[in-house]
Amino acid sequence: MDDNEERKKLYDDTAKRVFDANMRGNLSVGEMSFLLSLLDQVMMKRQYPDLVQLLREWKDSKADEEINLIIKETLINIDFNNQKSVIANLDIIKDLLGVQGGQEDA
Amino acid sequence: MKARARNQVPEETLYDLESEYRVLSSMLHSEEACIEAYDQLSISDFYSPQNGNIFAMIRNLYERDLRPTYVELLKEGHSLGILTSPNDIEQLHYVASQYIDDENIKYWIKRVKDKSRLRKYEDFLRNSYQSLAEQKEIDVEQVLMEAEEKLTNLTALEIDDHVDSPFEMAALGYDEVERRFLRYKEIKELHKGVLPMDGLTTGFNTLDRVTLGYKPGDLIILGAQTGHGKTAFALHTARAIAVEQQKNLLYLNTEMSRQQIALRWGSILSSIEHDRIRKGDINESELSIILNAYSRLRESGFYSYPCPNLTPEKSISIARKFKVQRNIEMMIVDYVGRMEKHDPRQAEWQVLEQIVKTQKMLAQNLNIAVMVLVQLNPDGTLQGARRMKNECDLMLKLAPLSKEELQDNEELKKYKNPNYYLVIEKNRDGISGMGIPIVFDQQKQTMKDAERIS
Repeated sequence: MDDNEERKKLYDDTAKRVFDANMRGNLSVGEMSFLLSLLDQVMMKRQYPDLVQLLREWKDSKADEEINLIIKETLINIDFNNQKSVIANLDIIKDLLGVQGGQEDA
Repeated sequence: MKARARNQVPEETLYDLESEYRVLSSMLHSEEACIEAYDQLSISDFYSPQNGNIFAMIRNLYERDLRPTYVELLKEGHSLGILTSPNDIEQLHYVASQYIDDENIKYWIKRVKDKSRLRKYEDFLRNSYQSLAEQKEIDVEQVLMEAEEKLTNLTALEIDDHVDSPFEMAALGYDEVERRFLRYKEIKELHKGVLPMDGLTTGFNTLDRVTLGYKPGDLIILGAQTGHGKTAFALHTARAIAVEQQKNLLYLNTEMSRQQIALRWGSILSSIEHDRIRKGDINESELSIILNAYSRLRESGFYSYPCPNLTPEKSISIARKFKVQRNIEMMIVDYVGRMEKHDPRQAEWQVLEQIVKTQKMLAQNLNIAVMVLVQLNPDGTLQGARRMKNECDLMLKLAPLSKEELQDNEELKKYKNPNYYLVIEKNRDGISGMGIPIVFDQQKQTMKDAERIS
């Protein structure tokens, strides 16, 4: 299997796994839709490199439960077919992580 | 009887599911493969109804300007309630995983297409056999004539091969004459003798009058020497069509980056010198003027595709995509000298001729106007010009006016500050061999007809 085929397989298998998780009731429709869109952005469309960086920052942050919940809801509500929606929601998340960072500093 | 005829043909002769899966898989993983298959296949080419449905969903996504990836297909299937059981997902996953080298898509499309044609042929044989068995009194001549017609339709390639019957040709001719007659009447009565445009504006009043605009199916060639306004001419055209008239236009640039193109627009739409914009040497009120200028670009129909390694095939594929998704009315290729060669052994003029032929076919097939920019030799000539001239509908040359010309040419003295000539070398529908004096402001990257001194 060459690199390109391996990449396609990884993409397809991941998409199927996310979809299956929704069918088994482990993911809501919103969660599934976000994870599938994220997969598409990372592996096929590559439109929003900021998004992945932001998710990394979120993972490494020690945000409290309430902020985590708001960030998650914000992510789920992103309409990836609307550039304005993506940029606006990414700004919201940056702010939320910034606020949290500021609180920790204080 | 029907079953008996059918039984004589092995099932596997009539369909090839593997090829269908591979085409669909490639459509989900490569945008270029998707464009190719979208263009060549229809739902009825798929033997399996399930594959036909997947193809229909992919087409639908593509037409809605969503890149039809596997993920988009899953989401679409979910929202339409088509993918409801684990079996549906398994089946779709199986189709998606029939990977091919996407560059071989044409081979797999041909296999699907061939089987589809074979099924139509089998259908023809079966129906003919059945009809023969059921008829008691047979008009042999009639039966054979009908069979011949059906068979001829099957063997004809499913492209735009259309033979006009005498009836159709006569009707077309009359419609055209009637259209022109009514237009002429309208010109005399409503427009006081000024001809209304037939196509898209050229951005120059005199050129509009002579050509009546760039028409669908037209190939326009614009030649200029290096540094003498090829890109400025292209963007002037884009401004007239996409910004002023808000028609959708695709601009392919083989030389400049996205940033360079975007910066040029700042100058073109604000009339502030390009050099100063590039350096950032502007004041705050000019910045505000530029902001307003870009808001006009934002509302326009200008689609830009910088593509340093453009090939004729790629230009076809991109044009098809933008025709389907954005309904473009014009494409500008800036410029063809920078397109990659198919065969390094070919001479430059042979390559150019080939590219120009491809672009003419593209213009006709997509029913859009295509403008290609070519580079002139230092002496103002163009290699292979005669052959290129044969292919195009309008050939223009942009050339600076020399000091001597400006001093000696009495006709030019009737114009205010002309510095360039736009020469019409060929015009399929009207006058050619004339030069239109224009003013080309290199600093502001703008062009206009030179005003006549009254």
